[in-house]
Amino acid sequence: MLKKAIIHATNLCKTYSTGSEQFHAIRNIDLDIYDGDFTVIMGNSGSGKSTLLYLLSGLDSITAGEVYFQDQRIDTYNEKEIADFRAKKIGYIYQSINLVPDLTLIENISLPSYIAGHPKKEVKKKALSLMNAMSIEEQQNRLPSQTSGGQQQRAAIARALINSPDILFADEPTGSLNYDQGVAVLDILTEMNRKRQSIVMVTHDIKAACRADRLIYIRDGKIGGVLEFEKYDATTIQDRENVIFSYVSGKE
Amino acid sequence: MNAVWTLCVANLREKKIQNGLTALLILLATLLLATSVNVILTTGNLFTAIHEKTNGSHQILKFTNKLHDPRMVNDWWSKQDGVATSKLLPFKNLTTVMYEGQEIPNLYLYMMNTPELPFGVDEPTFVKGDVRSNPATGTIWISTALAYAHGMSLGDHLGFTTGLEKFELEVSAIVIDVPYGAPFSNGIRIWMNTEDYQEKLSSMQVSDMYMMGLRFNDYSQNAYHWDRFENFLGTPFLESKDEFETISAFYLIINKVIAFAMSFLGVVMMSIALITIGFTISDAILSNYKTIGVLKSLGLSANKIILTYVSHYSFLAIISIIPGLLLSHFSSKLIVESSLSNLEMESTTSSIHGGMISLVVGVFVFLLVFLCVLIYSNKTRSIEPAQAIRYGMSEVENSKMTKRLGSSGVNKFGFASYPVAFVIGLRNLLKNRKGSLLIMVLATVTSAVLVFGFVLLNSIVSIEKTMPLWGYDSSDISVVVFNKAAFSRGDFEKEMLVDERVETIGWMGDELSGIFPSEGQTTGSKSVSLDIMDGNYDELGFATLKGNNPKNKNEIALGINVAKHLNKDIGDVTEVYIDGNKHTLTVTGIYQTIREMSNSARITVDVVKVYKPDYYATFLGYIMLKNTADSDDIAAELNAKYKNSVNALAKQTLIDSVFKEAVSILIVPMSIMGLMFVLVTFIIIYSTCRMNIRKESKTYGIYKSVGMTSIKIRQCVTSGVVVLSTIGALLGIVVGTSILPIVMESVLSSYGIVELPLLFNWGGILPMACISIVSAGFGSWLSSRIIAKTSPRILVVE
Ligand SMILES: Nc1ncnc2c1ncn2[C@@H]1O[C@H](COP(=O)(O)OP(=O)(O)OP(=O)(O)O)[C@@H](O)[C@H]1O
Ligand SMILES: [Mg+2]
Repeated sequence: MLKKAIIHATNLCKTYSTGSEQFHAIRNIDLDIYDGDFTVIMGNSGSGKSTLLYLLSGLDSITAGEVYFQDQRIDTYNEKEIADFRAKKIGYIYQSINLVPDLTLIENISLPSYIAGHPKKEVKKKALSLMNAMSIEEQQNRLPSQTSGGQQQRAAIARALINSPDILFADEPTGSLNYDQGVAVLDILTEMNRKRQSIVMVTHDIKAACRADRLIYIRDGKIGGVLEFEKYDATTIQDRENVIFSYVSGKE
Repeated sequence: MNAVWTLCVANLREKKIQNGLTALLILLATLLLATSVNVILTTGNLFTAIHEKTNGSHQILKFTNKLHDPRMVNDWWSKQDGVATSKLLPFKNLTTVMYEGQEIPNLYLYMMNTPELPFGVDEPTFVKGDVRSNPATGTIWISTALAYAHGMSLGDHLGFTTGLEKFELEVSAIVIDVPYGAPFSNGIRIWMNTEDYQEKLSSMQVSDMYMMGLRFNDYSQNAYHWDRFENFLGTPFLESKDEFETISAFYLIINKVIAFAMSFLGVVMMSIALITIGFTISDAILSNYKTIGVLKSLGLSANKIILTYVSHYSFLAIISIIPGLLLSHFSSKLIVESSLSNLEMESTTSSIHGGMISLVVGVFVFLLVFLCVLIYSNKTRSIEPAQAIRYGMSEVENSKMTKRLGSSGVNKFGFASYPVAFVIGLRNLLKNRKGSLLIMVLATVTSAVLVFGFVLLNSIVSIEKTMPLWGYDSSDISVVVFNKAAFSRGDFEKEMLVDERVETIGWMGDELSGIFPSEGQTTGSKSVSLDIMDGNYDELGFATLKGNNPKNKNEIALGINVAKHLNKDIGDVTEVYIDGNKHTLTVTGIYQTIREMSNSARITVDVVKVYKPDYYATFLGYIMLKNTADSDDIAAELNAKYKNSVNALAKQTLIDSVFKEAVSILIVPMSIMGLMFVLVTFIIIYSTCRMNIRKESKTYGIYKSVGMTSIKIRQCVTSGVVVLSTIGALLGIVVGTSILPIVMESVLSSYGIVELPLLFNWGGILPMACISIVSAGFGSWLSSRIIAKTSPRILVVE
């Protein structure tokens, strides 16, 4: 089956400059992300995973190259177009959660939907159903600081999903959670993906990576390799873990 | 110690703009504080100092009506202990002086027959020209008041006319003449050589008049001396007497207005500067809560953390206070010189004096900054690392904030009921309550100051509309008769009244004193100048505060300060001596006037005619026209026709000369202050907004990453600030138009003005009030540029 690319990036570069020094965090990456896939990005700390995710999702400007989303070039969007793109096409879950501290959970979750201009009733209904699915409806009127890290992360996922984005980006969504919380979050993502939600997730965790259809390995700002699970006969979780482990260790 | 140093340097290096703004604020606060303190102290002292230095008089006696023998009076006073008495100074009055071919309007000249210096009291102080014991033949000394107002210098020639004869004299010295040198006064002494005096003025048919100054060792004892003096005379003193209050009034009234404006602005600026400094520091410290938590968890002691902040801000304070003080030297000099230049000798601003003040102000500001830092950084003592890292604030703060946002915020101002933009703007204000309050207060104060300043200046500039309320007439032309012998009032009137352009004429009699005898009080008798009207006060535009102007031979209207002194009200009966004759008059009205500080009274000519049936008031004529536009023409015609006897002045000419002075002594310094004020407010609002936005940058980054355009976010933030400052500006209008005038009136009431005749020009007031809104809006729009310039990644992560 030939997969359709939802994101297509060519010759992608990102250079950070700190004072006089320049740091090339992403170097000439060519990459496709397929529609409906659960894509996982792995790599050492500092290899450029988060940076890549920001570039693909339009949250940061690129230094060179081109990024296409559904065949539309997004790196040349103007302010209004990119804002619209962020509101309607993507959902983003941060490594460090980043809820607005002075909005309640339900307000945080509803915010993108209000910004996209959806009617109030619909927004509320959708927010409540998402919160229900994430089992945080009891905390809906609390501020982020009054809830646990896991609850905050689930609220962040709900916020990313409320506008039914075409693609969901997640930067180590389980990084700050304990084991049970992490599994719960991953289960939610897997369930979403089963309903054809495209997901790109950065993770360090091999167990989390097992959920993916495809693994992209980043090394020093370049693609170190791509692992397509279809090509392996790994049906059980344990099998997948082994595949990933040997693949990743081989790369390091 | 190393850790403290590293952190301090890092704080300074990393937040360059924030530090720069804080330093700028401290600089401006210092500048304003030092300027206002300098101006207040210098202007207040300048008059006292020069009055002291010249052995200035407390009272000036003028003998114009031959009611007492001047020599006898002078003798008596010279023999008194505790009183310094000047030589008798003979003089004659002229009204016209020509300079560079132009007649200077609105002057009343005392041509002095100068005795040998020293005079004993009111010594002239030489500013320019050689110090001599009296002017050389063919030359005169003129006062700084005359010289500075018209740009005269040594060697210039001034032309005079007695009506029959014209002559010119050369200026050989410019002197400070304290009693006749105040801004806005039109009495000027010209010091002549005795030979010139006798020769040039001989054609005048009036005999010499005399004046003399009295200076008391203890001015409060003057009533005691006067009691004895009047005992000696056997009657009250019947000639005119100028009191110290009158002599100093014009200096002090201007001084008061300026000092009021200055101290008001100064105090306001000071408090704003201090609040801002406090706010900036507390904010900088409290927004660092997380960092402090982390540092604490790493084992840095509370004292060391405090030390970091103290050294950080001490450094900022030092580098900003010094330039602030240097700048204040220039700004205060500029203001003082433009307002009280008449008293300024070549180098009066003693730099040691100014230096001391600056030093004190500098130390004061430094200590304040120090204290602020200490207080706010001391709050970090109680920071528990865990709370700080979790909430970014203390648990108490957090629960307060939670309550605030939880109860009112969510229910009343949730997304469910209002547009997102509105909620975001509002939340931003509610969350940063202190910052919001500061912006509102700033807007209120700025608007109030600008509005009041505008109203005051506008009222002075358009003084022709309120002349009667300042105690003047509103006639179109005034006619000064300087040569009575060559003038026939009958002929003049006949001619004028057939002229179709003329509405009415009224006449004011020669300067006369009215003496109110003491009615058993310890205050002593009171001598005031009397307006004697042959005509109708009301028709000529004289206004009263309450009651009416006098119309009959048994009526009198009192200036407000006379009424206060005598404790008389409308309907009361009062005794008054005029020309030595006792009259019993009924008070019909009370008025205010800036002349003589309301130490005057109004009567009709009928009162004088009771004892002097052939009295003819021919000192000053008031002509009311049907059409004001004709006044220049008619004045010119009169001056041509009666050039030997009268000097006619269109009201506009008179107002122009007042206006010219007002510009130099009021408008310039007040504009400088106003400008500084606007600039500083703008900077404060800008930096306050900037700080708010920096603090919330993460939130804005999240907004941006979920699809809000940065324009939208900036609009939300800016419109919140605009709404706030609009509320502030509205309050400011109320304060500026109703509260500040009351304060000003109370300051001026002892100077005879109890109701400020203000003109409220709303077409100007509203734009003035809007300046603060514009600067707030502009400030927050500018300061939110960062949201547009920066990608969500940076906003969120950093
Ligand atoms: N603003 C910046 N300025 C300079 N260098 C930066 C900046 N942000 C990131 N980097 C550098 O770019 C590289 C990639 O950073 P990035 O955050 O993408 O790493 P990462 O792979 O997500 O690491 P981790 O797994 O630790 O999150 C790192 O070496 C980092 O030091
Ligand atoms: Mg990362």
